[in-house]
Amino acid sequence: MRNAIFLLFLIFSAVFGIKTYAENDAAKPYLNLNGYISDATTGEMLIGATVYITELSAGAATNVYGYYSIRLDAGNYQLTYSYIGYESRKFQLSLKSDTTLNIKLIPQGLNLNEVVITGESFTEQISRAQMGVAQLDIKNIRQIPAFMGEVDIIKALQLLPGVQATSEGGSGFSVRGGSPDQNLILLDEALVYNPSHLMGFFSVFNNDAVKGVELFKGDIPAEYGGRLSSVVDVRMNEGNSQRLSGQGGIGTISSRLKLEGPIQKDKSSFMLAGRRTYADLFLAISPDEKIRDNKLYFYDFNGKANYTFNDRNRIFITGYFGKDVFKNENFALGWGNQTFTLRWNHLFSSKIFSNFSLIYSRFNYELGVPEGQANAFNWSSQMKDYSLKSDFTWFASASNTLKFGFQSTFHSFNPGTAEGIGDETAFNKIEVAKSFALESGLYVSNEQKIGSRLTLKYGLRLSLFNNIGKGTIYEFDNNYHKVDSVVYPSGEVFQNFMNLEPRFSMAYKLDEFSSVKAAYTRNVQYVHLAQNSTAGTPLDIWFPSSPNVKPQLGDQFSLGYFRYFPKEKLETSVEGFYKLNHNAIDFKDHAELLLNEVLEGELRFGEAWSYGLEFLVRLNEGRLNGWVSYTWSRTFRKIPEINNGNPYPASYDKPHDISLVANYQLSKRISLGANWVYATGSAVTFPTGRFTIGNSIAPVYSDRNAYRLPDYHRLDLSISLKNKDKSNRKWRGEWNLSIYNAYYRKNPWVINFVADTEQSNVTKAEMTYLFGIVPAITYNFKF
Amino acid sequence: MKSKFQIILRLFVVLAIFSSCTETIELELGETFTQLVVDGQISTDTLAHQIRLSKSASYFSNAEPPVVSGAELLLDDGSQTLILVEFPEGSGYYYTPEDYFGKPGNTYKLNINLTEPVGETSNFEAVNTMATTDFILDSIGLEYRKPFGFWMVLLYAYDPPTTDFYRLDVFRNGVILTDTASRSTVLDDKLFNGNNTNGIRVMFLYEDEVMLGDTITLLMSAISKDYYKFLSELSSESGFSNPLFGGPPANISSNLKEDGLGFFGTKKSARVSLVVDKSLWENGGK
Repeated sequence: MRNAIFLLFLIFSAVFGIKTYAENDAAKPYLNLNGYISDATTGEMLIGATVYITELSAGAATNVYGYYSIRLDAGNYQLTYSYIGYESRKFQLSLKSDTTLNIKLIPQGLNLNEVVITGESFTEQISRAQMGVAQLDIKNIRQIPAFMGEVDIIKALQLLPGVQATSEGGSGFSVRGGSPDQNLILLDEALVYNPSHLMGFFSVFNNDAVKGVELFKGDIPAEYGGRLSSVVDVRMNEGNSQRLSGQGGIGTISSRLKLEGPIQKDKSSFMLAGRRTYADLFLAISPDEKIRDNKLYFYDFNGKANYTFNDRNRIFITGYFGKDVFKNENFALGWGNQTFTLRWNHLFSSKIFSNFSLIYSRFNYELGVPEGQANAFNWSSQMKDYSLKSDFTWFASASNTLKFGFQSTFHSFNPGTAEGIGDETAFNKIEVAKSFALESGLYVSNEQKIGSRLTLKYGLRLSLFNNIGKGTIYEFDNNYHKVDSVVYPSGEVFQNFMNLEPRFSMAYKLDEFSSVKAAYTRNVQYVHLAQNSTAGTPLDIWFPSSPNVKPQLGDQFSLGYFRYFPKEKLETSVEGFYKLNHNAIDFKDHAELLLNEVLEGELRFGEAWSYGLEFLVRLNEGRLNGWVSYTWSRTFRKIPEINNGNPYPASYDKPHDISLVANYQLSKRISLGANWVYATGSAVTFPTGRFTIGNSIAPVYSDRNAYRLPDYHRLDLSISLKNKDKSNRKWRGEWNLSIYNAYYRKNPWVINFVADTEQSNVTKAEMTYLFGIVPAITYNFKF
Repeated sequence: MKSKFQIILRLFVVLAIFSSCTETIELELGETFTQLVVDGQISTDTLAHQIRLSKSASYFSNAEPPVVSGAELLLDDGSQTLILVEFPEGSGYYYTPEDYFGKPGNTYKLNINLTEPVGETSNFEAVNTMATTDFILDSIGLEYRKPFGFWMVLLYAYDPPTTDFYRLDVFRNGVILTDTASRSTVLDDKLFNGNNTNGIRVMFLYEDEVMLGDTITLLMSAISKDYYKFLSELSSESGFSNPLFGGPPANISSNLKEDGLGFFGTKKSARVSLVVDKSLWENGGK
């Protein structure tokens, strides 16, 4: 502990040293240029918009609240403010004193014939000491053909290099070989434990309510902690601060509506968005009585409001509520996420930006058989988090930007309670003991420019995890059989973990348009998911590190080359990585994860590692835009009690992965979209032998994941037709027709080995594929 | 209770996936080494108890399992050692005398000596202790579920406060209906320990398996924990799987030492029957 504080102190003092140096240089006082960059039509703050200073060939980008700050010498500068999809604005500035410039940019779409091309945003990225990152704006995501017409940010992320869907059509994804539970998925800072709706075919993010998403897959900044593989930072719209407006869509399976507008113009605004599927309405007209009786739907609401007190203070309130429902007269299942965030942005000065957040998030599910029969029961489980968080950005000098802060989260785990209901019940109450934990992080990091070519970012995160009573801890023998249990009283801290997580990255500019970057990061994960299905079922059980479960540690090394081709407007990059995961968790054969009070006895620990190369060519602007990515990667695990202790490929080990995403603006009104994906088939275990018990044929399996499903590939297409623009009409409509799996590839979802029903002693392999050609039509509107 | 959940969950999957299709696919699979397989039980019923010996084969061998004939099988029940007799000769089926019955609490040791080794071993042993569970099987009921087109079997039994495991089989007019692992039910008493089961639904029968006038018999057997584990693994690995539920495929446990397959089990059994009379038939909504 003492060492950790000392190291944190070192980083602080290093920066203070720099600051003192800067302040003492009185002959050349630095001036500050700062402000917010927003959308001129809606007042929405733009994340990652850039200001570029021609004289310095350098610039800055806005943070997630749209704020930027740069320190400059007094003098004359040519400034270019730009953001992808917006017209750039150029200014001539004579800087004599600290200056605030709040800039509003106009979306390009409004003026399509005069597309202004800017390369500045990428040149700014080239010099940033940040790799393994991808930003997707909701506008880009909407251009991608969507399954059943439901625009989905998770499905868009799955098309990026290094990101793989874990199953057909699912919302689960693996980043650089990590498990799906190693992704930190945040919605306005609140953790979303299960991002899937309807068995994973749709994600919880309603595209109307989302502004954009940033994915960190390698070099995870020090302000984030708690997961090994990635951070998916989803930001919701703030609400139009200029006028009351709306947006929505009527689709094949769902409808959406969003309303937003100013509460007080330029001071406060709100946004409310809702979505509900109506697949069950189609079930009702089914000729099959078995299907007709079922209800199957999901809905979600997003709400956000903000209030600007003055230039220095702004607050935001965000809420999300989503639920899935499946029921019939015999059975009911429901699950959902709820999140709430209260944030306060405060500028201590133009140089110190801060944010304080209070966060609540919950995931729960409930299933059961309705009352009135002996089988009636109710089974529920939930996971709750309460967090307090503060983050500071200090634009300390022209060459140093310091970030520091802390976060503390109280976790409450209720893995499952099942009990019979009603008078007739035969069932007892089964309750898996609840548990509680406090997870905290304290971090500091500095981004430092050294000369005109080199940028360093170095930071340290100190993470702490405490198991707090009331809790029951079982002791196991060497064969994982329960031998004893200890009950800790309420409030007693019975286990502490502390880890230092160094984060380092650097960028070296080779010339104006290219750079090399390198990074090393360590991440620690204290909360784990007990789920051994590959598709996203809602029956998730999260469990904490404890005396029996060590935290998972991840080390990642990455190296990349980035180049921008200004004439062709192409962004290109190659990134290589190697990852090692200590204390990786897997489950024993035939593990019993649900309603098991000795769940920890089902866990097996070992190592996991992955490595790979990712190539990306991206065209962001112009009539034709999109990207091509190719990833070659491998991912393995080695757990002493599994597969006889031999290494085996993880089920999401897919060595070759190609994604092609293209959008073409055919005319002012018509745009075409296409994406094609190819991936090596998942690693699976197949039987090599068989034996007979009674009339049943039983398999004898190969080594774990020794075989592969056939390769996966699929083409999706879409066409959008905008209504004729009439300048005096506020209503803008657009028809979108999409086709999923356009050439009818039968991609196996599962291969089952079954006995032939007609010939005895004959076994066969049967493949199940989920989707044929799935067309969908959606009408989207804005007013 | 596991199987009940599985039925429900499977139905759910079928509904959730509106357009899934299944078709046969050609695959090349590797070969594996051959292992000895034991399959048989000693129960509390008085009869010639059967033990079958066979060998494992490659997955697509598509033939009767290779027979292991001429072996010497010794059954030690704690008080005596019996020699099991192969009948008919060359069939791989071995029997106890017809007047033999098992006793709860006894440990049964089966010793197998092969004339030719399988997988380099010619001596195998399997041990199982018969459960002593004092359950009371009172009666059963049948209930027709119209939308699904099948019959649910309702169980009325008393489960003692000990930790117990059961296997349930159903016979129609004396002929077993649950002759495959995926049809027969295995239960632990976690959810109803120490209770009367009050008619919990434990099994389903297809529409055409129940006719007016039929006698439906439930065979309820208390089994040991390791036998329960084997049967539930067999049921999940020999049935359908899907990526939503259940973990990765894994080999089925065995009590045949060393390195054999299958299970030599014991069970404490009870039976109860029900005649599908007119009122039941009509109340079922048929």
